[in-house]
Amino acid sequence: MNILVFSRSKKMPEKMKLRRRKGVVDDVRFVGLEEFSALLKATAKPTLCYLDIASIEESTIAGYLRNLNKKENILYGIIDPGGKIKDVARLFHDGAVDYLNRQSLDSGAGMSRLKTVLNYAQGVHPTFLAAAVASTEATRRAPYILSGSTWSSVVPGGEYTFSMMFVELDEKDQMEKRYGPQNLSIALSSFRSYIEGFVKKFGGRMWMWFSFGGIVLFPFDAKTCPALTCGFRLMLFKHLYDIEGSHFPNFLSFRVVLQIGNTPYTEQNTGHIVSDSLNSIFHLGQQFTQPGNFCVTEEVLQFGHSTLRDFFVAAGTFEGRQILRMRRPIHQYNRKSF
Amino acid sequence: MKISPRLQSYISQALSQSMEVTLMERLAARVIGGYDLYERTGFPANIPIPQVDAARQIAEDLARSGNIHRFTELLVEVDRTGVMGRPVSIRLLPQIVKELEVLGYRFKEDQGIFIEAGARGKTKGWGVLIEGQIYELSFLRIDTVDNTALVRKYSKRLVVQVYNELRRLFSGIVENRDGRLWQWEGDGGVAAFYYGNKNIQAVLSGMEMLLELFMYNRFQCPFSKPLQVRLAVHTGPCPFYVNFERIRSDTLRRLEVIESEFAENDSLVVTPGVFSDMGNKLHSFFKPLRVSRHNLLYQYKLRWE
Repeated sequence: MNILVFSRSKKMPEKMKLRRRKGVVDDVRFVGLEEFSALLKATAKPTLCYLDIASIEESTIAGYLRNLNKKENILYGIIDPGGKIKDVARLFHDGAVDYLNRQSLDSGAGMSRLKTVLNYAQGVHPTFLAAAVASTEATRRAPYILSGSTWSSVVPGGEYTFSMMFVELDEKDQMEKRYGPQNLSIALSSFRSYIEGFVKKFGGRMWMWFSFGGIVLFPFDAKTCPALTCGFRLMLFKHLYDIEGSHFPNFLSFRVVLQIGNTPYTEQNTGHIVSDSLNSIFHLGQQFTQPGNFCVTEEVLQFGHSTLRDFFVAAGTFEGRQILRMRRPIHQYNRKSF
Repeated sequence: MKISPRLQSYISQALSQSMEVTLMERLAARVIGGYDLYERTGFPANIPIPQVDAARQIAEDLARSGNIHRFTELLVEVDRTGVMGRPVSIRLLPQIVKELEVLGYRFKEDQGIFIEAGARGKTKGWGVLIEGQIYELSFLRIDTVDNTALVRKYSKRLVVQVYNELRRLFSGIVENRDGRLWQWEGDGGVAAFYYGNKNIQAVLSGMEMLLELFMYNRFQCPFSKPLQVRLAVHTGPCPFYVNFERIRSDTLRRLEVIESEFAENDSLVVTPGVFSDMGNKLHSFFKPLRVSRHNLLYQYKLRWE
């Protein structure tokens, strides 16, 4: 997480007493108000912003607050040494996580206050904090070896960072008995073609396929994550495939998992690849993810389209990583979800 | 539909070399109602019509009535399944199919039907329907919720842009299922389905539209609130005219009433005639909606856990 303080006061850094802290705060910057719009627009990482309203005209404060409220990757606090805000509670109702008046500044805001602020934020903005932790971890994790936004720069034999997707049908143990080997083989082949065609529209490539599922790779450029939209659509439109495309007589259920990870890339003999990321996505898909669900690591949400974040809820921790689960669409009127 | 002399000749040869006259006439009557070969050829009723003459007359009449593609679908069916348990092998069938493809049709193997191929452009009548004739069709109607409020709130340019995107989305979904956009008026329109499982195609198009609109609202919609629509599917007889304004149809009138009075925002409603044709899998997505003492509709809506 980054901290960004907008203030005209030169004494503000001294009063705020904020500093970098490993695993919590990656960067602290104090900038003038004239940079407010541009910096807010350019901020992509989860950021805690403080806005010093001492030099802002009262009539324009609401506009600044609106801008802060718009950005989903931003939490904000207000610095109000002059006591301009009459209804402080309203600030918190609208989304603020901190309010510093003259007294709080004089007593020194500091890192202990930041801890309190983050504890409070955890209750009201859990997805922000998950993304913030991911962002901080991302700066500590193995460096990205960007594969780019397309496949053009990926060369077999090299190691790259990809968005890795795991897809697998549920209840695979009962399928052969239920459908017979010949019918099952036809239905599985059609399922594979469906997944292959679906991911292709988002730049995904089927990399490994086992009878009931496989691994898809998407090039990763650390700017966007089209694989998140792909997985989201896969779950949202699943029932149309069930009716129009599936060779299975009943509704299908499958798990999807998405993470960002490094792996050596080869086109042949993929079974011999040694990769922690590959192991980890199999564990996540087969040991953690519940049938019919789409799970992602928090790092994925950091790069995916921000409007999809509301559709993910915390699902727990697995192998030291925060996992989020997509809320399930309910199409059938007499079922909770499927 | 323009028919090449070669296609007409292939049909004529295929008939004369593959079946007797009575079967030819029976098949022709299945696509041209009340077809009477004696009346058409002018042969006296007590004289058997030679096979070649019968075949030539039928091919000519099929070409004139624009029914060659329908007749070819029938020939394919006869070739595959026979007639009354008796196998009938149709000669020159691959050549006939190829000729129709040259004319801009695509044969859909799974459904055994010909439809217009995209490269030659898509017409409202699939290049097949004849002006003024009545057909059994399924219709999907879409309408934007609160159009007046949107027009007042946003600039004309923005509203036009959004409605154009809505139209593009809708017609793309409809045409993917061999439907055709028959009418579009600013904020909504009507699509028709004629081929295959037309009710299912119309219903799936409506469901897909709701889901695509959900994604559009998240990713692209420039309005401050999500764009909402109402959708309805109804089936029944309707005359075909390229000019939609000329169509007078109870089916379309009822469709409009159902959509405007009974469809909730962001929902799709279908009539019982459509519902009964949808099959068990699709049934499970629809909730019965009692709209009056004697009338039921069925509703689909996307919800989230």
